[in-house]
Amino acid sequence: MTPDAAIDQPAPSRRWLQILKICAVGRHPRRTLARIIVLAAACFIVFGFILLPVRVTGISMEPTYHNGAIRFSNRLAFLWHEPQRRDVVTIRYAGIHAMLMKRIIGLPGETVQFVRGQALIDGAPLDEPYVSWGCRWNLHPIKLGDGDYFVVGDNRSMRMQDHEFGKTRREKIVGKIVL
Amino acid sequence: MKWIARAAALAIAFAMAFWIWRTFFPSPEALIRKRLNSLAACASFTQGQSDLSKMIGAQRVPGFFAPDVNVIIDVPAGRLRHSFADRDEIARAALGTRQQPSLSVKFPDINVTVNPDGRTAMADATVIARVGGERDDIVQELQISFVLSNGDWLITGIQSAGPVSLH
Repeated sequence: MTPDAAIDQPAPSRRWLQILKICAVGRHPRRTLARIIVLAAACFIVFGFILLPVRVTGISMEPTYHNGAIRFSNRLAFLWHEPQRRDVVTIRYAGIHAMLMKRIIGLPGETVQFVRGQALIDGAPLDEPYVSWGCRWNLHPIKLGDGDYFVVGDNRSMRMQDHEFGKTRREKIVGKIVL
Repeated sequence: MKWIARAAALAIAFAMAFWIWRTFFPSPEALIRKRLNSLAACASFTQGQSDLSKMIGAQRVPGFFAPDVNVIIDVPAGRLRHSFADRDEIARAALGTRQQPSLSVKFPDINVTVNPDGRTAMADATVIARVGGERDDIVQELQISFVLSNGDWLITGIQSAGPVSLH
């Protein structure tokens, strides 16, 4: 080993600093910065406009969605087709900072009613495997107009008076719950 | 490179001029949003707040409403409706809320439409109220009407307009 080579050899502490630097910002800091900017922009677009994160508050969607769970509402889900029966959707109030999460059981033009807890669509019983706890709700028949959907939570063990459900307009539906 | 620096400086100057203009001459929409946020701040109180400051906040609440205000809101428990016909009732209700351990009121979404006359406006707003000790928040959509009176936007009516209904 020549004296010059000995000088070029990094000291152990300096080598660790280099390793740390590579771990933190990579071998090419400019490229790393560009990747971070692209990733941040992608996250901003995806989670700000397409897949809205929603935190479930309340027990009206138990046992399918638990209080405090984080889910995502896909705003593009109904771009090419209309909402379907059994879709779990988010419904906006005046904006999207607070939304309702409900399941669609009635489609435009149908008549929805509850008889001793059984949901009837145009008089025929609706199969609802997602409902775990029965109820004794009774609700008069409600005819849905064009663009009206009937939404309800999965937790039917709640008192009907405490459960927010009913008709909603198509334009109030923001997206479909995914993930 | 010089022209880039000049363009950037010009853009910054325009942005600052616009910001100063909006600060000193806010639009009616901005004034109404500010008004609703002030109302929320007056209606809210925390557990550690002194009784005096709670009372001062409650006494400010009626000042946001017109004398002949008409409020019809849904009471979440039991699907009932409650109405207030004048400012005195609102003042009593605001004082009544001070019996609760705490109250947080927020308007996270406010959409304002000023009518062509420029003196009346409608706001579609989401209100979130959290009462201390309660498990769930109260969330409602409200249709709020305003009138411009002596330079202040006063609330003339509030009506609940939920996104789902059984009617």
